[in-house]
Amino acid sequence: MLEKFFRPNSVAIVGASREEGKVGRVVLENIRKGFGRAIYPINPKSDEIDGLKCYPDITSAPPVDLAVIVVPARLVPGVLRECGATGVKNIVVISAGFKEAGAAELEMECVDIVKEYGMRMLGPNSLGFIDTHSGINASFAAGMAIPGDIGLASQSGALCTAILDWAEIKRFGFSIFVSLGNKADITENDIIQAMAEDDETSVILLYLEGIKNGREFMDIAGSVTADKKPIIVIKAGSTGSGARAVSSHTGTLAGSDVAYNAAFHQSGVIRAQSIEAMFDYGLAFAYQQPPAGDRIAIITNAGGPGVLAADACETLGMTIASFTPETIETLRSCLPAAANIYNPVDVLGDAVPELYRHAIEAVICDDNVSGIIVLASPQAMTDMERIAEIVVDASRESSKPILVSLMGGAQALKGEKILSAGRVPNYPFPERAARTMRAMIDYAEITARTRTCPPDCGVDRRSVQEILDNERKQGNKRPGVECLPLLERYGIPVAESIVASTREQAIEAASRIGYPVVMKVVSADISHKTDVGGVRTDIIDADEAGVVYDGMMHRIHRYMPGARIEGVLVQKMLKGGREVIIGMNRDPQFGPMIMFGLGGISVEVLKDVTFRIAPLTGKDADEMIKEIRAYPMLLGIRGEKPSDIDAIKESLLRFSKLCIDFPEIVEIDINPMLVFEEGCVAVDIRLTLEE
Amino acid sequence: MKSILIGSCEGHSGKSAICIGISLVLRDKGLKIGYMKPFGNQFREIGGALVDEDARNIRDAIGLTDPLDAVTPVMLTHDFYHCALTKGVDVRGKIKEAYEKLSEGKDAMIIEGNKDLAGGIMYDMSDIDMAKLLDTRILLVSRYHDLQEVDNILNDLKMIGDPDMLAGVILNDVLDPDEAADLAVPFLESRGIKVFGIIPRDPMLKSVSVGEIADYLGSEILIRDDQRSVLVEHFFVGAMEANTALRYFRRVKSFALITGGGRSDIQMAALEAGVKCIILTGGMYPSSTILGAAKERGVPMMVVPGDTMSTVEEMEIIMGKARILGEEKLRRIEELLDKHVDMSALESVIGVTA
Repeated sequence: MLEKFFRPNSVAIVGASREEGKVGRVVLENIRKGFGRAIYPINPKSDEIDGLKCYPDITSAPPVDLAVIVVPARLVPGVLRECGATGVKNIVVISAGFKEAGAAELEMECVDIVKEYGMRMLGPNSLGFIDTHSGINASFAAGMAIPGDIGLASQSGALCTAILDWAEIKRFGFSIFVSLGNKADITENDIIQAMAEDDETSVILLYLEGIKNGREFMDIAGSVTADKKPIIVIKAGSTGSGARAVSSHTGTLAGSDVAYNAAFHQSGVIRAQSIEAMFDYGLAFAYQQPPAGDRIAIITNAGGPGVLAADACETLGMTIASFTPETIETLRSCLPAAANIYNPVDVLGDAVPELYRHAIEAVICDDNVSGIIVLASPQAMTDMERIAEIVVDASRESSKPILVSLMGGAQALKGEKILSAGRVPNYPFPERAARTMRAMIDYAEITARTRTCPPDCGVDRRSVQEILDNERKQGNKRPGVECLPLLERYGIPVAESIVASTREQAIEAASRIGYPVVMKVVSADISHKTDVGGVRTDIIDADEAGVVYDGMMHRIHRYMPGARIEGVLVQKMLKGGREVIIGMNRDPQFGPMIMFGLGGISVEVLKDVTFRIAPLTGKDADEMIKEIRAYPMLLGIRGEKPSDIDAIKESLLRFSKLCIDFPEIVEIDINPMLVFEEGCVAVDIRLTLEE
Repeated sequence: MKSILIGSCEGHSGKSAICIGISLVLRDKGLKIGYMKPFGNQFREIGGALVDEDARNIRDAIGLTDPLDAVTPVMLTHDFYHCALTKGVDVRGKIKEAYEKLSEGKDAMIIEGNKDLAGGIMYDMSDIDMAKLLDTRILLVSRYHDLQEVDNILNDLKMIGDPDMLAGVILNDVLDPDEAADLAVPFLESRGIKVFGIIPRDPMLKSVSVGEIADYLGSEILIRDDQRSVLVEHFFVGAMEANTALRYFRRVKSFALITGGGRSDIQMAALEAGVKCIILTGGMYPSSTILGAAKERGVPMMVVPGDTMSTVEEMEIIMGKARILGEEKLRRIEELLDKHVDMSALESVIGVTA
């Protein structure tokens, strides 16, 4: 899609400069260094720059595939129009001074022009991009990237330059390297798609401070990861301070971290918590296959590192593999008597490199092993280079991932070069190898899921629309329990209830429903009914119902003068059952974020809740129910009967559909929902509607 | 002269709004309507003279150009009360004279009464005295919050004494219009009190414009000064975490945000939730990216020197005295009268049946 963008046949640099050190000059020089095709500097004040013929404007230059714009911000719209008129389709705007500097209108103007002419624009305020396979460095970075198979896109230009500088000494190779800038037109979603289609890219790394279109991101990222191209993201701004920095840096909302975690999980994206982790993972995904399970073998030449690696693996939820008797027998026969032949395998400090070969070969064939971590600490007898060669050979022969930690500095470096050339990732310490193995297992687990569509369920959309329209017409932004029927229309069972607006009606409703009953005040102005005495349970007869009605009305008029009261809702008193909560809060980036957890008043204290972005699949709903800490309670503890988990699942799926179907609901909580041995029932509800 | 005096059981019942509304509705029917508020109590110095600001706003809103010293001939200054309690004052002549001047060429006069019916008894010019003086009847505006308001209305009727002088009542700012219609209206009418209408509570009328806020806080609007007339109904203090704040923001209509210049996350959350204006405290300017984002969404931002606490106190005062200003509110009050008040009955009481 953006192929001509990253691999153009001709490039114009609008604002190319004769002056050494100016951005217009640096960009021109960078492009000239590796790009062997047509380059046209554009500058009305020069006839030639550095031996290249210079054109006064883009309309007088030969047609080009790509224009890189480095003129002052206020001139950019004019240049864009000229580009549009001459048929340039791909634009990089390196110039700054747009939305990031308060000039939002100027940026909007640029976007309008770009749309008008059907062009694509990277930036503005972008460092530019590098494509190592076409050799183009259309950026003002100090250096060029080494060719490789990692694609990287970053919302921070400064991070780009730092990474490039670091990658050079680490011999870390990139396919495409993009600075996203202000993301006025081309966003991370376009870049992910382009990198997914690019055969030179095997892993996609992203540094993001915000996502422009979350739902689209999930769809695109989900299909890319399902096609087995991993995406690793650093999402900055996960703390309060970070979020503030994101807002003032980019003028976007950092967004809720739980929403990002849910979205990443559901679309198979691996989230790295640091730059170090991002590259640790990137290297592993680029070089090795993800494991088919979580059973890890550790091979070491020293006890301490082996113990640390085992601890790290287990802490991260991996299994230290138990070898088959055949493997143990093989190890016994080829390793010295003092060696440890059980996992972690210790070939001992004085081991000759060949012992590593025997150990790896024995372990890698074991069906109980999904992946291997090889450790080596530099001791007198240790030949790091030879060990590295042995690992590289073994890695070529097997599809099981091997991660290595050649520990130390000078000695380790010799081996590291061999490993890098042989596409085996090396980490200075065992914990980082373990953490990386975990990320690979996560990816394998997520992508192994078949992507199911949300199930279809019968619903009565029109009558829900009527209920919502009616509430909105009355100016109720926060309707409550009176909206219970809305759930019923979507097939979510609700407690039998009747709204009454006089004492007499309340008593009649109670006798129709049958005692005992619950009485709740109905008022759009009261969101915490219990705080003002607006809920009474276990009312046993008509006398009590009358007294409760009078008392409730009196209290509420007194404590909340001015609250509009529609009446009371009389509801069947349900006994037993577990309280759970199902809720939704519309995330600005990803849309409806569904919550499930332990309900009632405990939800505020225990916060035992889990989140997914709607629409939910059956798999999502299953995961949500199993993820909460109280899941064993739902299964039944100490001889209790299990709760009806299928009923919860069904309700979650129907609730998800409700949230998708009605974007005017910005927030909704069913709290509590009672779950019984058979079935579940929604008891109370609160919504926030959009104006 | 055809006329009506608009009085109320208590202050802040919405007399001014009803005066404007009736005047506008009748004006639209081609009638020439005059307006008088005999006693001034909202002082403001303009061009070296003390004027009643409300009366001036209403005069302007209904498109009159009468001199303000005729619209409000008596100002209730401290000195006035001093005289009234020592040597006594006689305001009859002054009021009568102004009234006649204002009536010239008009089809009908709308007279706005005292704070409440009893106001002015000490100088013999309560609303009842005034109605007698100007030979008119009283339309009572009642701020009706619950059924107990019926007591106040009956009490006022008792004070007026002559049932013919009370033209009837408008129930205003009503929380539960259905209950009022079912219970209060039949009862009042059985006691011979005509109810012209039930006007439900309308938060929009209690809102204030961004421009009013800026003027009151004495702050410059940094961006989108073109949005001065946008109305604010509530305000929030941005002190919590941004995603939590976002949920609260979404639960209310037309809100303003008060927060520190450094809280860019809260500012973005408010922009996301459709904030109407952002007030930054402590003299701290926002980051340029936030300014850009606010500009893009058409949201005015202002910076005030005071801290958040004192700004909140001032905002509470501003929100407490919303005035009927600006096109949008004028249209709304007219709409409310059209929809909820029996205007033809009211017209025949005034005597201007078209």
